[in-house]
Amino acid sequence: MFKFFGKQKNFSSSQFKQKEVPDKLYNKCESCSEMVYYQDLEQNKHVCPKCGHHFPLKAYARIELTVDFGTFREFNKLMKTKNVLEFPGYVDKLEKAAKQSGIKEAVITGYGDIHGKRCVVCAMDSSFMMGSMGSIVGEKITRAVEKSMKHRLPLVIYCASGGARMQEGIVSLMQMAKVSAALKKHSEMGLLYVCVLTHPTTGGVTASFAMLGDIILAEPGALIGFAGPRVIKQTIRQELPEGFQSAEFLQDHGFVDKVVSRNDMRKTLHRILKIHGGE
Amino acid sequence: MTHFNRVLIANRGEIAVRIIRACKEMNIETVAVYSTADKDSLHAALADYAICIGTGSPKDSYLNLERIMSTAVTLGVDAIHPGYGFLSENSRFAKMCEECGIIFIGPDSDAILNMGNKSIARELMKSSGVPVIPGSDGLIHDMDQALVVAKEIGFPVIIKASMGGGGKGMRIVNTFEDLSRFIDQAKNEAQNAFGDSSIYIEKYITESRHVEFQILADKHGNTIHLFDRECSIQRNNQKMIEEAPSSYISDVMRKNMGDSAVLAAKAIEYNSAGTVEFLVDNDNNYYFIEMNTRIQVEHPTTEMVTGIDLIKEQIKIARGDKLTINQEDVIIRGHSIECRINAEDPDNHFAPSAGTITDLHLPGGNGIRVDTHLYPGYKIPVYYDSMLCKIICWGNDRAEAIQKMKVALDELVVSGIKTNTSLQKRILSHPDFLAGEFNTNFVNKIIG
Amino acid sequence: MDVNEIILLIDRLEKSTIGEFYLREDEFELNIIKNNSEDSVQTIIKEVSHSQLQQPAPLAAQPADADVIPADNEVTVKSPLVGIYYESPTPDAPPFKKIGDYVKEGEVICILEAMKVFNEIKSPCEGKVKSVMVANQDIVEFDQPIMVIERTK
Repeated sequence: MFKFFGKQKNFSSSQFKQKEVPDKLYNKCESCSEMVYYQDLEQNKHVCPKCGHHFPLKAYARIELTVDFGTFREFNKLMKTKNVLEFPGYVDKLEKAAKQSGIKEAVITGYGDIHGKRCVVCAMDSSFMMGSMGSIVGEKITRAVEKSMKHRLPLVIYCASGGARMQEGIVSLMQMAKVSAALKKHSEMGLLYVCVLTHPTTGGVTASFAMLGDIILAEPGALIGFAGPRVIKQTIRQELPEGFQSAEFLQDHGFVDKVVSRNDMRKTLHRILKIHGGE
Repeated sequence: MTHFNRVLIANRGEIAVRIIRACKEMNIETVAVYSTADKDSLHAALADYAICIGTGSPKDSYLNLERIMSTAVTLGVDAIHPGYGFLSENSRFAKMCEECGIIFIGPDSDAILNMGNKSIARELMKSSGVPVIPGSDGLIHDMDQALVVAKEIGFPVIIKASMGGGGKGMRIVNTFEDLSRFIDQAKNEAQNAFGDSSIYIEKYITESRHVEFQILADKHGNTIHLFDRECSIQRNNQKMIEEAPSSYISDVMRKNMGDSAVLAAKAIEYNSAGTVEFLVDNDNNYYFIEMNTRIQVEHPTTEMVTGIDLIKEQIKIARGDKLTINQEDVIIRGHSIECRINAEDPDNHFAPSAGTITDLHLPGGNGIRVDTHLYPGYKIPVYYDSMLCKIICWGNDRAEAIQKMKVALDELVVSGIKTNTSLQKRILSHPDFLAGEFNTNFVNKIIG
Repeated sequence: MDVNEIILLIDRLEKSTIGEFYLREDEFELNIIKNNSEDSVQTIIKEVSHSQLQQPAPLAAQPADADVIPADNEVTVKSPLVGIYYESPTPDAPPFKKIGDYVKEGEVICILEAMKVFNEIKSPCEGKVKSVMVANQDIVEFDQPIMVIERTK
């Protein structure tokens, strides 16, 4: 009809100067592969508005969603990791991680109120060296446990970790024992410890404090395990069941008390604190 | 002052054609986006580049921010013109353009946001000294407040949705007894249609005329109006015939309303083209209704009587140019009328009519302008609004313009589908229309 | 070819069951497509100039607007978005798939990038790559055919 119709297509992108798009303007949901606009993600607590997939959440954002506005008072903020084993390249890695994530170490600890109830809240951050636990993470959490004992406060720990920090060797592993010991004392005092397992919670953290909660909650779809699935498969030489190491699987098999969506987490913690509150 | 090399037109149909033409006249490369249902559309054919962005459903294509932004970013466009409807008043889209370094040809996302919330717009206008219809101070929070407001302003009142449009979330209330029930209904409808149940109340003016003012403002604080348009010829709240200028308002009213329109635009630091809508009652009081922060369908009527190309002005303003027209320079010459020709079946309650254009003959001649995306053999897609073309006539006075329109409509041939042309002709021959004595109920009355 | 020959050709095609006819003679290209739904014949005649011939043609160049109807066992992978096509995972890596390669269902065949989000496009079926219709770094639009996979088994 028109001489216009039937134009040849196929032009290369090199013909055009692409516009600079800000990083993370759009994020791809791992679960449903949809593109999510950053504002939609932020306004929805970093949960995919299309499929409900829980995106990883940074520590301060996590705390903001948990405690009453303006009540968080961080402690041990300035604790910095020392390269105790003089592991090569570790110092550089720490600096890079700090720059990238905006925090000094993989856990933030402090006091906060949940619906008016004062607690000690710890939030691990997987964006700092995969949330790996080294001496400072162990020390900060131990001190948080000790503070909650001192002031007889309930303790809430959000776990997210790739395991023990390799660069600190046996010192990292020791943290498992240290934190667990503090938690034992905490328990003997009759105090409440709720831990929330978020994606991913693995290795030494799972094998210590993550599984010691009086009540263990988990976010939907979170990967929770100790060894990686491939290693397990090769060791037992069997196919792994469907949903292996997911929060829901663990709930079904008694390792997690309740899978709670991010939207309901604050409400759920409040209910638990009320029931166990005493005063 | 940036120079635009390439502009993306985030729209379709006649307005996309209009914008593409304006860009070509300014030596700007054009990028069209189209849905699979629009692959044989004129706007895609005319543009320098055309990219398919989704299936026919508007949600998947013309309202799909991701795909449109991706197209714009990948083709390195300097600016996006959103046309009217679709994303033109989507503040998030405007913001996204800003974030990607693309200029949105329209106002800032904040201005869009504020005017998009009817209740906020009302309050802003009130505080700026622009007359608004008597009503609630902001949103209605509870029944007690509603009753107080209703008592104060007197029945009938109209409940309106704050995020509303298209007549949804509106209820006219005549008695106290109905108030509570209708508020609940309006809130539910608003929640379903707009995801927001906020409502406010205004006095309902039973007989009124819709008169709007065209605004043009640059990014340097210069704001002018290009006078008025009469848009009372509406069927079910859809405009059918528009005129510039209004034959009803006096010159004194014109001056006052024009000043109010400029005040309204300045209050929100507006830039680009926009329209301030007023309602005029039988006592010649005028009230602000809402502001449309985009170019409108009926913009050609203003172009014909002022000689100013609004699309080109929008582009110039967007790239940072100062307005070269002063208020004193704007003069209305003659009278123009626009008839919207829609694919509607007059014998079937004006239900949308589908089909392929088999024969097409468009009128022409001195003072006749046709804006359309039609061509012979064009198959009308079913997903979009039914407007086929706009016929705009200019005459030295209103009588001549009407006469030209009658001649043009007689000459118009659009075969293959049903159109509303016969109704348009009826209106144009009606003595009340010729005498200029009509209000927004006119069309609904004559079709019974 | 002169005008009379073309008219004769169109007439013959109209009466035959041939749906599409393509002829190239040196610098002359003729493409006639019968559009069955409208019972009419569309003719596109291009005088391909010498300089145009020397330009690199897109991979598997098709005449404009040719609606290639794939055979029953062929699946055309179409783009679900607007973006840039990448044939390999990184600039220096080899392409995911070449023509003739075997591909499993769910295997990544290319990357489409849209606003800094890299989308892996997976094969919808098991088979062999029959043709690739786009070149590395081409801009692809929604529904644009990227690859044709011939089902095996």
